[in-house]
Amino acid sequence: MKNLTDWEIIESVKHGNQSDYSILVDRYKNKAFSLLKRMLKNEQDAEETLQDSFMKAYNSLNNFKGESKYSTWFYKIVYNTALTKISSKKRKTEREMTSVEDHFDLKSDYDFNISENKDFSEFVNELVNKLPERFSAVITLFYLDEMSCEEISKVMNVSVSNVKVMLHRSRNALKDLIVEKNLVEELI
Amino acid sequence: MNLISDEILNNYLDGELTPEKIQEVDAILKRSEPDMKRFKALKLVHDNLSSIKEDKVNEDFTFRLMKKLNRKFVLPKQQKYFIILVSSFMVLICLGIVGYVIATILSTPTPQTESVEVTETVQRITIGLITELQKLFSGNGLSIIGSIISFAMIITGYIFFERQKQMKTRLGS
Repeated sequence: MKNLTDWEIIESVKHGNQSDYSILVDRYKNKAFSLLKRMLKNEQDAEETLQDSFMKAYNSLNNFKGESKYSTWFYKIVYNTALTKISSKKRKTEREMTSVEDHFDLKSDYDFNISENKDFSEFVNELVNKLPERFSAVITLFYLDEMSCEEISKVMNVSVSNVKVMLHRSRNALKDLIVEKNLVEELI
Repeated sequence: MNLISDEILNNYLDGELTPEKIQEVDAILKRSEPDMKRFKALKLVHDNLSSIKEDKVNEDFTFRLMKKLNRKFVLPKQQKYFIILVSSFMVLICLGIVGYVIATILSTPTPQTESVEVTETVQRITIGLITELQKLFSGNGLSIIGSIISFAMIITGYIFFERQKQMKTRLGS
């Protein structure tokens, strides 16, 4: 059962085997949770939103015609549900301000000390959590879900070039931090 | 001074440059230490981002979600099917009774007159219908109909509970 493709599972659910939906849930829950946790910056909100997203996806399963990958379609639901959650928490202004044009400064937030923090990847992970929601969403979808910029643009409903701009800016912010702190030689 | 822009460095890292441009960047990186340092930092970030681990949601998440889904979508659907099933049985029983009565009336011999008034025909059918229904719903007839309805209810109830049981077993597994 676990080797079934997403499409086969969806067909099975559509034919009345509702319990097969749990295979899809198990397949995507952790990755979607990672995305939501980074966007919402809160574990409890992330879990609630994840549950809402799976409920919405189940309810709209008949609308899924297989024109795109199930993962793209599902992440679009997850991303939009997260944005709704953010808006409902009266953070709409902040979200609108976090456009591609805006600036964020990780340097002021974090100071990495090589002797204290031995695990650099953990530090990078922490910094990703500190990025504005759209930027951390791009990073998570690109690196964790291994999506292409085209797929991310469909999920986030923005142009491919905007996705690239957000991806590059997130990387550059981290890179500038390393260069400024002279950590290149120490970390390589 | 940086000879390569951040955008080109990112595109270089993603393999999105033309072969000529790649050669050009390679040459600059060889001779410019600050650019090489920036590229190494960017590569370091890229490699570490590639190894970020996914977060784990609570272990019972799937179970709780499936329970909620069942309550919200599956059970109301099953209840709807149950009502449709019971209604269909009822409609079939009613159609059977009406069919039986009409067949009885039609099989009763009619007086062979040249012209039978429409009102007389309607009156005859109505009286026949009432008489037959009275016969059907009195004595043994009533017991038979009651038994049929009870039987239909038992069958639909059985089907409904079997489906519920199957669903619970699937969720449990």
